[in-house]
Amino acid sequence: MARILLVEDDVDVAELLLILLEEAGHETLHVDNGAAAVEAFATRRPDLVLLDVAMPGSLDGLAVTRAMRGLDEDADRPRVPIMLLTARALEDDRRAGLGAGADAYLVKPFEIEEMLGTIESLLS
Amino acid sequence: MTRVLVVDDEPQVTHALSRALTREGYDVLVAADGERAVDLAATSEPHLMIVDLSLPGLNGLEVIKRVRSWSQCPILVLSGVTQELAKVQALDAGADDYLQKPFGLDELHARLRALERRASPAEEGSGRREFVGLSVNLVARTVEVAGVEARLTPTEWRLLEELVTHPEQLLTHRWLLQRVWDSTHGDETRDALRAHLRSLRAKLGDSAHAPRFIRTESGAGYRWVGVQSVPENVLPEWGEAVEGEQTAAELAGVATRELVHELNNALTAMRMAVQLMRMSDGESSEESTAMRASVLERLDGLARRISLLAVALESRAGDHLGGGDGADPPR
Repeated sequence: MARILLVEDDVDVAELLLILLEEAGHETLHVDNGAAAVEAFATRRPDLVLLDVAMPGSLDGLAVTRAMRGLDEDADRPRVPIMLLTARALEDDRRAGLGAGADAYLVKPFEIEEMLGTIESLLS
Repeated sequence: MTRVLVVDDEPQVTHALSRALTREGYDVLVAADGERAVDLAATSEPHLMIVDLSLPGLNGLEVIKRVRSWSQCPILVLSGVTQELAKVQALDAGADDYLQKPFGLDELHARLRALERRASPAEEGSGRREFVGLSVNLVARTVEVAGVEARLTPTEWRLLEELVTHPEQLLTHRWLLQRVWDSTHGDETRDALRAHLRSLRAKLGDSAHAPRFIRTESGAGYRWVGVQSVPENVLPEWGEAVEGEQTAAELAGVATRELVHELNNALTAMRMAVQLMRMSDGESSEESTAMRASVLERLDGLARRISLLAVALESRAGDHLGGGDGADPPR
């Protein structure tokens, strides 16, 4: 079982992801904006982050990823895996996400098995 | 109520902006040309102005110069991609920030909120500004980077002070030079500013390429992008879902691209719901039954949401075909 921080502003997607992650035996923490995500990352120390790229306000998923990577470096601790969830399937977007410090990039709509498989491989 | 003067000669832009700003609680005035804009700025004393640079007659730059000669009203400039020079001239003439077309409404609202904050700065409270990875005490004049105190020169400190007290706002070179160096140091140049900024960045452990605190706005100035710390006690607990509001009632003012984004999210959720139902098929435990009931309820809501989105998109398509005023709100 892992502690997974879910950052998703879409209520329906978030609710179903929470059901899915809990069914898979994980403990979840859900926030719906970038600032709360960075704070939760700093104070609650999740084992993995599932992060939506497009969020309202100035702090989108890429900025959140960079802030989280900065926190990892400040604390001199191993990188917490970050998986980006996005509707943008272009190669440039994928490269920008991984360049910001994410470990995996999943395009919506995705298969549940694919997501759970990626989570397992990032945690192992 | 905050009064905003929108200056643009494109009716579909002023129409969409008026609708979006009114919904956010602003009192909106519109001017379709430069002369009218200057008149309205003088007679109705707006709290904020949004000025498109391309205007017939008196252009946006002239409007800014004239208004700035007697008013400190914050001015947000709208510029096209090909107007880099005009944008810089507008900022030098006294505009406070700019947005490049096409822009999103979320960003527009955030910029306007930032300008309002600059116009009426909030109480400073304890003088502490807490950002993720950085803590600044404006009273004690100390700064801690990841818990370790950083030693700044007086100039670096004044720069940091201006930046953290104007979060998310574009601070132009000219504005910073005026604020950080007094008039006796009139020979300070942008090169000197850049040099101090570089050394401040180094002390904060920040990078110009992947900024956590100070972002360079090419040709214009700098913006503080440090993430403000959220008090720990407002975070939810593990296992607790955040409730949000459906935006279906407000779809009329949402840009087509955002509607499509919403639709994709709804379809993603629907697909997950179907897969979850399949996964638990045949299971008869109490937990599985409860889970299926919860997913079914969500599926029902999703079907309603998708219908609303489809109707909104259909009417948008009809507007385009009819050539009416159904253009997208500006992005």
